[in-house]
Amino acid sequence: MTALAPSPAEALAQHRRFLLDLAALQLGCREDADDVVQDTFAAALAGLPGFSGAVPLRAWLVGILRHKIVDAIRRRARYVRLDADEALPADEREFDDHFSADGCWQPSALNGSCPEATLAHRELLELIELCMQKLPPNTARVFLMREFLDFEFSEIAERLELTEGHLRVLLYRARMRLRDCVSRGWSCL
Amino acid sequence: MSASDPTRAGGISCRDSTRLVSESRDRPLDGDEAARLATHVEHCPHCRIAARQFAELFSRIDLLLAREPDDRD
Repeated sequence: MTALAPSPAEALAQHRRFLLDLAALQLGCREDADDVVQDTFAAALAGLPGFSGAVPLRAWLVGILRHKIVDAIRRRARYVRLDADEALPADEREFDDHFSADGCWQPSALNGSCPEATLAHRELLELIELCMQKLPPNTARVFLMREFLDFEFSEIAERLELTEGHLRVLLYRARMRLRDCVSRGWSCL
Repeated sequence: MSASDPTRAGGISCRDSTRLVSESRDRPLDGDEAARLATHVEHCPHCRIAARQFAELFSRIDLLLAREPDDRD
């Protein structure tokens, strides 16, 4: 290895785009996203001496960002609505071709099964990130409210004015799509 | 469909089992649901693969998003 180690600020900056995308998806506004990412970097620089490296740097930054976004959302009287232009199907028909009429898996929809054998840890994380970026924006936003911001199921339904049944389908779709996408990338040869 | 059909194990279909796997990320399954899912996955070869894929996916999502795996209880 001859490359110079990046400075702390450079190391953080490599993750800026990912953090901005996460924040903008939730806050619906680039300026607000810039603000929370700015706050996140300030907190990260201050906390960097205590960063143990036990988790990847990006995961550590994402953990800081989560609190900043949740604070920003809770400070708002009203939550930003879902984009009305994007359809939010309330049914699971898109997965009909994954199953037989009586609900049995079509083996071709499983895409093999050996993640560890084909991809290194880091590549697997990048694959999942890539697959998350491929979700439609509303779906990604709902999914990440639950999986990233850790809002309770009922709070998401209330804030976004969705029925619980509809929200359940949206989360199911996100997870099924991610499984599809990721398993195609790691399928055994 | 015979009673011993592995794709109906636990009295649920594969499709039902994927719904339960998804919902288990949002709420604790009740005892009956958890038992049906466990029985189904144990006997159905397709769902064993899918369950392993979901488990792998969820644990990597937790890592990517800095989640503790037991955060949500």
